[in-house]
Amino acid sequence: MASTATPAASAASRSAGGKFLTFFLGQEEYGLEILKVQEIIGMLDITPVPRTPPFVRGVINLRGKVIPIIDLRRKFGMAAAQGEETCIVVVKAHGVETGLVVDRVSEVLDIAEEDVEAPPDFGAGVDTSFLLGIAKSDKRVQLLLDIDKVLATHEALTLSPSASQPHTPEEENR
Amino acid sequence: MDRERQRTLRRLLSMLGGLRPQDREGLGAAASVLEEIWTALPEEAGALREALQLCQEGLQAVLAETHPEPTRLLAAAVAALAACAQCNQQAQEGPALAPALHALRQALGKGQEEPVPSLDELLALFVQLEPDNTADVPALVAALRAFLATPAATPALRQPLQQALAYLEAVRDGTATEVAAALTAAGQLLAAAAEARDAAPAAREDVPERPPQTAAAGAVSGMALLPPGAEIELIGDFLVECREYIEQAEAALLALETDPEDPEALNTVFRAFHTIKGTAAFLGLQLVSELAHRAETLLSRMRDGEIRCTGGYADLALQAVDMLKALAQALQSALAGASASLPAGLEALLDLLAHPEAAGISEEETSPPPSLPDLVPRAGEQKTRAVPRLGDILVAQQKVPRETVEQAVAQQGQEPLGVTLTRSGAAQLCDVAHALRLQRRLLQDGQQSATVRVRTDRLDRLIDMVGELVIAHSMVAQDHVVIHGKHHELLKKVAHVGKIVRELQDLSMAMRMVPLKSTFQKMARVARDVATRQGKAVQFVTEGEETEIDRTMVDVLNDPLVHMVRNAVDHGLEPPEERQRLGKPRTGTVRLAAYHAGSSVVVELQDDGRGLCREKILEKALARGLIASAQGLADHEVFSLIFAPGFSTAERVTEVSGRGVGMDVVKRHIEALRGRIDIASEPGRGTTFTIRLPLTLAITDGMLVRIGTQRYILPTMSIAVSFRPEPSALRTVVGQGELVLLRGELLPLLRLHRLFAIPEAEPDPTRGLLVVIQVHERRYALLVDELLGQQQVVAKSLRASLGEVPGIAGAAILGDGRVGLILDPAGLVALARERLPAETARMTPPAA
Repeated sequence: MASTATPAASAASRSAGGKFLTFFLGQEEYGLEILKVQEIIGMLDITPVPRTPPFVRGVINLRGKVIPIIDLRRKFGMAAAQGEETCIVVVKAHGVETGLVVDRVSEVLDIAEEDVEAPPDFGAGVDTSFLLGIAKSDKRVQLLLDIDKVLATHEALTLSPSASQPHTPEEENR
Repeated sequence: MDRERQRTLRRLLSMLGGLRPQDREGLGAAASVLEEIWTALPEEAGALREALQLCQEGLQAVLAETHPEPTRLLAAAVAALAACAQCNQQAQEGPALAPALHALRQALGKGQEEPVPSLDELLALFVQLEPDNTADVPALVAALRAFLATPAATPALRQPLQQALAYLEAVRDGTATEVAAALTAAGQLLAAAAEARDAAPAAREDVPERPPQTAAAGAVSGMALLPPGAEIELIGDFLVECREYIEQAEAALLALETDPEDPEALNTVFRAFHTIKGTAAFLGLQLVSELAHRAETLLSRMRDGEIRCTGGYADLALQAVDMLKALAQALQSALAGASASLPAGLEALLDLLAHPEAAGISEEETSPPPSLPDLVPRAGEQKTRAVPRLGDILVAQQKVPRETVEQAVAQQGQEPLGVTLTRSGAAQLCDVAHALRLQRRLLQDGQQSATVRVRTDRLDRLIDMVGELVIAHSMVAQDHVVIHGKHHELLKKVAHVGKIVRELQDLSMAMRMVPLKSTFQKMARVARDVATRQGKAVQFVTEGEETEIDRTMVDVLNDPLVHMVRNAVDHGLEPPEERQRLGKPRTGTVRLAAYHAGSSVVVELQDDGRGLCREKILEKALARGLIASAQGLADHEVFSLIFAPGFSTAERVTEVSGRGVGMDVVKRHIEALRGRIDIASEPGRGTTFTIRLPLTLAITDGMLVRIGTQRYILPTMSIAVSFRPEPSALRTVVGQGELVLLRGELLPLLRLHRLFAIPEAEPDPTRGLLVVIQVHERRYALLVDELLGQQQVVAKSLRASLGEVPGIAGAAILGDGRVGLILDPAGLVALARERLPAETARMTPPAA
């Protein structure tokens, strides 16, 4: 689908390259633009907020500010899981601080512009507009996230066709 | 001639001179004094006795408020009384008595023909008009018409009077753009007519009270200090009185130097000139009367807000007082038999007072500000610029020797130093006033450097952080190590930090608080504007305008208050004629008050108008389908119907109110501030709106409740009561869900654990607790597991991060550092309504 690939490619050419914070969700490695990242904190007690989508875990007290916590696993339609290294990456998107629950933070990578490719076309039904691009280095692959776009939608995003089972958040909540 | 009686009459006259028909107390006192006089008179003094009796009747008719034109009646009564006094003094019937009595009889409705006022009465009527109170203009217009129809209106008088009539009609019809200017123009025309009459050879034998304006230059020389055949004793009394008034005026003028807008002080000066003018004219002291008259004109312009009592105008007023003092002194020595000369500069001052603007006088400083060579640099050296004291300024300007100031300070007592200095004659009034003016300017300079503008978002953040500090501190203070350890020293230190933190919290909350004063002032203006447009007389009273409230709430409170004040004047108060018919004062009263009650601010708006009409509200509510039947509705329930959207009780749409924005918007605004509005009303007696608001929006008084694993904060404002029901009190009604019976009232049961899908919650209301919440006049029972206690929390919005969450008003950080959600009762009810069909459906099948 050329129509979905074109805006993603232009986004990649606009902001690809630079420093990225990489983290894991399951086996997949993702990258966040380092300028968007505010801090990394350990897991805290999260106060659930009723009647919000399932990927909204709730809110926490970050030094006197109440910020929402998004579970990226659920946002991307993966099964929930919590391990020893689960932590919260606080980012600033649309001027609002938001915490992202990730499995494990990896490292800060300097990614050269030529290593970034436009997101591949997964075919119909898969939206890749929230990806800045895909970085390939040292035989590893990082999916570079456009976090503003990820957080702009209130729906769960489906990244790979395998994970894209249709479900309604309302059902899961009850 | 009876001297004692003469003295009493004179006192009565000077007292009545400043009274208006509304001043019931003064009128009542005057009427009873008058009665005493005429009943004490012997029968043979028939004419005078009858005349005084008639005057008393006149006053009583004013008091009874049954007369259509009380101002005219009062004027006639006062004129007649003056004529009585004159003929008492001359021990014979004066020429002015008969016509004055005739006019009074006519005003009282005792005359046979239509009352025809004289030109003097017209002037008297006009003089009592106020630019901000045009209620009596129609009466004046009618009187002027009547006068024009009589032969007394000679061709020479006709032209100015016709023009004056046109101005007054414009004011009456509300078509005059500048009411004050139109009245001034009409007044000049009336005065011109009076002049034309006096100049005519056929002029009556009236004693001219004022010299003709055109002859002002030569007037003074033509006037003697003491009139021939003056009453020495009476003038002596007058001078004593005069001195008192001058002292009051001096003190008030000095107060005006500190605050040029002080209405009380302005009134004091005005009253002083006014009274001196009246009495002096009566005693034939033309010079004093003329000076006081012109000064009074200047003061009335200040009182009406046309000019400010600053700069040149203030100087002029000060000079007038000084001149009055000098005149009084000259009179005193003249009485003692010494040859007294007129004070120098009297003529020039009279001219200046007649046309201040023509002489280039304005609110600006006329003379360059006096410098303080000695004091200012010294003050500048200090880090905090102290404002020099009044005495220091006077000494530095070499107006008063230091010893005199020190002496005055020693004797000072309760009064300000300036008053003491002027009264003892140690300093000139003008010098003290200038020194005060300089002091005020220095003070303002000092204040400017002492304030810093701070962006409000920074302020808000600071307050947030202080709130967090309080919570963080309580976490430390309640820490196991601190409480149960043996560290006595540590405990002491923690307690000390706690004290500082609390003080910091109070301070930061105070930074957001502003007094309601400016809001109240705006409302006074709104009331006046609406009243003028509607031709209603309103007295707007404010109380507690120093009450402080959160800055953000002041802005939001403004709109609903404007609407309510407009309503009160437009719909609440009756027109003056109707009020009079109902036996109420013509002037309606609207009272706006504010005070603190616990942790809320109460704002009350009260009018003494017609009150809410229960029948009319019910009729309209039924017509609009707001209620099914009027049966069994209590008054307050009926009144609260006016808050329903689209409800308006105004019989007609006026320019001011009734443009679709109704009380529903007012209620919405108030509720957005987490406030409440209640109405109390009595037909014919008026309506009172009571608004209750939290002190600040930043802090919510809440009840911490537990439901299953979760804790929520319920705003205390919406909680009525909590109880644990008997099993028999629970009902299930198909189509309406679950209900619970509380003292004969069936309340819908809200299960929060179901609405919010909270695990591990107590589903049985007889084992949990029901909290009764009030939403839009309806009550609901909210099922919770337990109450954890009251808590003040700093409310934070979730809107920016999560958007609107139904049933949740915001979030707050609890004592243990975790986030608690604040429940929104109205949202919960809406949620429950939405779910109701599903709920009933779930209850019916056995599988549930």
